[in-house]
Amino acid sequence: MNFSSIKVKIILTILVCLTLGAIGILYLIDASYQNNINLIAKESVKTSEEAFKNLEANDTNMLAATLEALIRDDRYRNLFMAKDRDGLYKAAAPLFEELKTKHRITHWYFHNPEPESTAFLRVHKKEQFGDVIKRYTYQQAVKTKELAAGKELGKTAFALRVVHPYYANGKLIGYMELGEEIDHFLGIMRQQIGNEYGLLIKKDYLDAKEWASVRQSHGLRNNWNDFADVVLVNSTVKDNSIISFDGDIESIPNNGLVLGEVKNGNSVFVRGVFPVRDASGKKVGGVFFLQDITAIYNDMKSMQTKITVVIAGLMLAIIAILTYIMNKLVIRRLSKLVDVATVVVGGDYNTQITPSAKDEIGQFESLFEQFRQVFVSLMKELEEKMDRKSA
Amino acid sequence: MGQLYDLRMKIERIIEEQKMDPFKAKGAIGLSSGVVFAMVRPETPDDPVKIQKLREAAREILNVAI
Repeated sequence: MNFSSIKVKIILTILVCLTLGAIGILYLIDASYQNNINLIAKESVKTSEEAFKNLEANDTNMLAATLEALIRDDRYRNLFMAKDRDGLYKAAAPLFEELKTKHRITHWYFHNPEPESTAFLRVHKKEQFGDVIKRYTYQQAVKTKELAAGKELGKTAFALRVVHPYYANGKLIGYMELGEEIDHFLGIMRQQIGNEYGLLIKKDYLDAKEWASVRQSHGLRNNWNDFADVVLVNSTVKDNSIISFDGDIESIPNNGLVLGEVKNGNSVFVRGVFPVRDASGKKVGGVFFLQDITAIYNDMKSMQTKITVVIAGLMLAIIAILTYIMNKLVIRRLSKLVDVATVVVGGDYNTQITPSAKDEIGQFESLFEQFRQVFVSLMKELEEKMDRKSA
Repeated sequence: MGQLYDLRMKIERIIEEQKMDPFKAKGAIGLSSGVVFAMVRPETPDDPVKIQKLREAAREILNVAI
């Protein structure tokens, strides 16, 4: 390739411009894709958080309604007032089993009133009683003498709890509490929204030994050390390795955080997390989500490929058209001028140049023809002089 | 007859032997060497510089060492 040729220079310039244009377009597609993914992820954070709150509100209402009904039952009240723990357990246990099976209610307490504030009976765990109850929801019910509700962490799990003051003839006799574990929230959210979810809890609020024991009893690997500060308590994915969060729970903004993309096999996900607060309002964990964006990602890649192919085709077409036009308008005509100049110097004084168009090269051809005629005239004159001299 | 004219003759012969366009070949050699063939006559005085340039141009255009 002759790099000093005008044709090559023009073609190379256009190629560079088209390449830069292509890079710019591909960059814009990528930026637009990233922007869309970010918007999708933010929307997903919002939707997931709303779904989580709605589930919490619905289950709180269900627990509260159940609790209101149980509080009105004279049978339980009389046995509680008589401090008949065994009798109360025998009366409550069948209903508790039904509540557990049908409504996922996993905790039912009868608490002694303040200042004692001890657990009189755990229907779900009869053998454990007499311990002082310090939980926030209980303290709120004591303080307000109204229903208190919220999520609270035990040693290994999150539970949604409702506590209600327990009265007999207008006199406070204690408190009744219902609770449920919230593991099922993630499964329902997955069904409703379609994302995969994982619940992460700060290690500060869990007990490492209890955690190891619970995992072992469920036949699961102890995942305590998977992350520095948090533990994956529950998730909807089979392969938990794609859930990763090494950030600080406290630093997650209230409206959630988009964590970017992650690839797993042929699938592409966008990740995000929103904070989970306990009943007291402390950020104790976060719900991590994975939204499958494989289709969007593949569309973007396909678009990039199509644009690359189109621009490459465009380049070839432009080079072909440009080469043809350059040859027709400039190169061939200049070449013809060079040929004529050469044969004139070689002694052919008859070959003439006819302007091929009224453009710039045509003007030059006219000028060159005039120059040729002057040159030929001079040469003839000179040759005649030399002929006369030699004769 | 000088060397320069003799060289012209040799070149013209080679052009004829190689069946090249005589005007084109002589023009190319002339442009390359700065020597116009028509101006080289038997009486033209020899100029070593012109002879050398003509030889080099002939070698370049005709691909023949003279």
